[in-house]
Amino acid sequence: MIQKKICMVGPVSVGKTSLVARYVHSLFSDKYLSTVGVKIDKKQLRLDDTDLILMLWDLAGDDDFQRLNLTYLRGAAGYLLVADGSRSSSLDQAVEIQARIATALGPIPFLLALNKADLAAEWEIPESRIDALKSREWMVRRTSAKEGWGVNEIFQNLARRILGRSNSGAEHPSSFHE
Amino acid sequence: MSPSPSPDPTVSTPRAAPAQTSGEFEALSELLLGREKQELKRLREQVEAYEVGAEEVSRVLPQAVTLASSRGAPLATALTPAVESALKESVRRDPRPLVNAVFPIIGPAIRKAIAEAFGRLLQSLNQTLDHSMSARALKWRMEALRTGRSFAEVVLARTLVYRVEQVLLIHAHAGLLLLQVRAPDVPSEDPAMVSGMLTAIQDFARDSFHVPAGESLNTLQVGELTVWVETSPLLTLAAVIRGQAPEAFRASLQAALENIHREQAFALETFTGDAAPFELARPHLESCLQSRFSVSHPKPTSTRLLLGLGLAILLLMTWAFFAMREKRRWAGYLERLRAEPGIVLTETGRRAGKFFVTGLRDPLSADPGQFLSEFQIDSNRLVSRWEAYQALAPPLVLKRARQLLQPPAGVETRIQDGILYAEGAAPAAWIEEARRRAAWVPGIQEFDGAGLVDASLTTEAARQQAIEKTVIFFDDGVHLVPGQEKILETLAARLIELQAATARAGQRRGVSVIGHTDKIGPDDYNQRLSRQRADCVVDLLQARGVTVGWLAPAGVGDTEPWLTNTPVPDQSRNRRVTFRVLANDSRPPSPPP
Repeated sequence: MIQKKICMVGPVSVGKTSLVARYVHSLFSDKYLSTVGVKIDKKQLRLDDTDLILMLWDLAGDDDFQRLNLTYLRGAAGYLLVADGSRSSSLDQAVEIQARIATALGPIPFLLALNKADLAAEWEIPESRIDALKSREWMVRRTSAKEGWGVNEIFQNLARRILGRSNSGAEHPSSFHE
Repeated sequence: MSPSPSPDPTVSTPRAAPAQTSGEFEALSELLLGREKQELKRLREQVEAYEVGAEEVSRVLPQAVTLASSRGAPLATALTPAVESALKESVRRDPRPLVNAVFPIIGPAIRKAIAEAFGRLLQSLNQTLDHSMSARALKWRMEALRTGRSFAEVVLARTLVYRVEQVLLIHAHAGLLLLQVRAPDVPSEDPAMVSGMLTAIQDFARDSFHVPAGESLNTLQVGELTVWVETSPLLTLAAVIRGQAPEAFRASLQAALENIHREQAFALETFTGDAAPFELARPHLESCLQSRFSVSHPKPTSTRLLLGLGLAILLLMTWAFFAMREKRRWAGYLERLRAEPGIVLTETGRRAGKFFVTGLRDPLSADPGQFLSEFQIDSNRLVSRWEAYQALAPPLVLKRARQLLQPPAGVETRIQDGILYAEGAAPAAWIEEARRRAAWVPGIQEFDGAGLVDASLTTEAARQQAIEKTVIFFDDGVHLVPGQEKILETLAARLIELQAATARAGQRRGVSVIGHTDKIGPDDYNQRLSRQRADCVVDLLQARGVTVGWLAPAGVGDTEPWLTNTPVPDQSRNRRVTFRVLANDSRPPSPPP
């Protein structure tokens, strides 16, 4: 049984907690996020004959009032960088957060989830921008916590990458409906 | 190598030109000093080479040390003696630089140690004070005396009830659970998530309060549960404790953590999420699953309740016993008073813790106070009020009668059906007085003195009888049988007493002195002889003080023989003189002329 610590990071209101809630049954209340700044959940899964436990550290959203506590990222095997696809500014913030993490912790695997893909009409992220990120070896996935689109996949893909069985972000298996 | 010619001393150039002088000198100096020159050159080269080498070594040394360190222990082993010597030398020369360097490490360590020791002391003191006055404390003090431990130690050992419910071994960085052990029947939330959250909270506390590096949250308290956390650079050991563990348990946690850290150093450094290797640390964690339950933990409230109840019952029973006893004694006392003649109870009872009794009492009756001791009643607790009266109870009537009549010794009195009976010898005057005064006594209707005799009369009768039993014996003539002097003396004394008593009583009495003979001889002779014998005795008595006129001698011959049927030889008994006291008012016969 392999355990991996995975952090959920991103600006406020991009749906990090909703993605976790879609993925696991929570033990702790969401109020931990506003008090301690982190909420921890667990997901047990079997990935390519490997039993895996993902410890999901849902970190409070990063904004002008509450800076991301990088201490919580200590020992993380990887992280999910979440942005709101209907707010392009959230992607800018996510990119900035990623830079901070990379500076503090070095290169650790991560995956960018562009959430709220169900809001197709309000989608603000152009394909060109996604391609640009992919060209920097980023793994980018579109998700909808509301509809459940791509939720399992982002965790599994990140886990694969952490285990070193993953591939580059160039591959883009379309696993949800748009 | 030097290219100079061979310094062979056998080679010489004595015939060289002056132009060749310097060359010759060279050759000569070469010849004389060649060996030293070469040595000098070699040494110079060595010195130069050494300087170049040190320069080069100083450039590569850091890298070389780093490289050597990564390859394992040999370098450390090689350097250890040198480092140790250097430290010693440094301290010997001036300890201050080293002290200054080490201070930032030592300071927090000392502070932590002092804080923990102080915590233990406080805990010990609190519990000591808590238990110093209880009943159990006495038992524990005895135990402390017996075992030679301090009282505080015994108290700690006996009172700290705690149970370590679970122990979590956590990777300090990632917050990942490495191993969990749990006491039986202890419910647990997902330990992996708890581990994560615990680590997050540790981080949170550290970040929020800006504590110095190395410090961390080491106690969480939630109700009865306490989480004790011990940390090392890579590990966190968290013990969930129900109750209050002794501070010494923290030392156990620290020891376990150190052991695990040492034994699992490799697994920790190479940890990538696989907790399996840490299974080896299970014994260390299990050793932390300590629990201590108070031996036969007493239930003080119920015991005290029982004790109190028992005491109350005991007190109640004691009170009841004494109350019953007192009641019984009081009833006995009253019963005794009621039975006593001359005492009539009108009211009895208890008032304000004292007994009271009122009634009528004949002054001649027994003192009611004299019975108190018989019934063990404190006289100070008795209030009594008596009205005097005269009781008609026979014993009191008798008592009153005796008080009034003052019967002389020898007179018995009794009372029956209102009649006072008196018996015995008493002076005639008293008898008469008693007969008169008895009727004055209330309760006596009649006086019966039939059993009384005149004491003076009875004495006279006895005297009379004694006189009349006296016999004086004679031979066949008018001579007394020898040996009767004593009889004569006694007779004379009695006669004198009789005469005096008779005179006192105003009576007129006398005594006949009667002479007797046996049947031998003629009657007239005997008649005469008997009279002679009577006269003889009168003379003898007269000689002894008896008034002669009071005695009346007479001779009756053999007409009143004492023994009639005796044979002749025994007629001596009839040769005698006898006496007879004459009745009152009877004059003695006139003496014959």
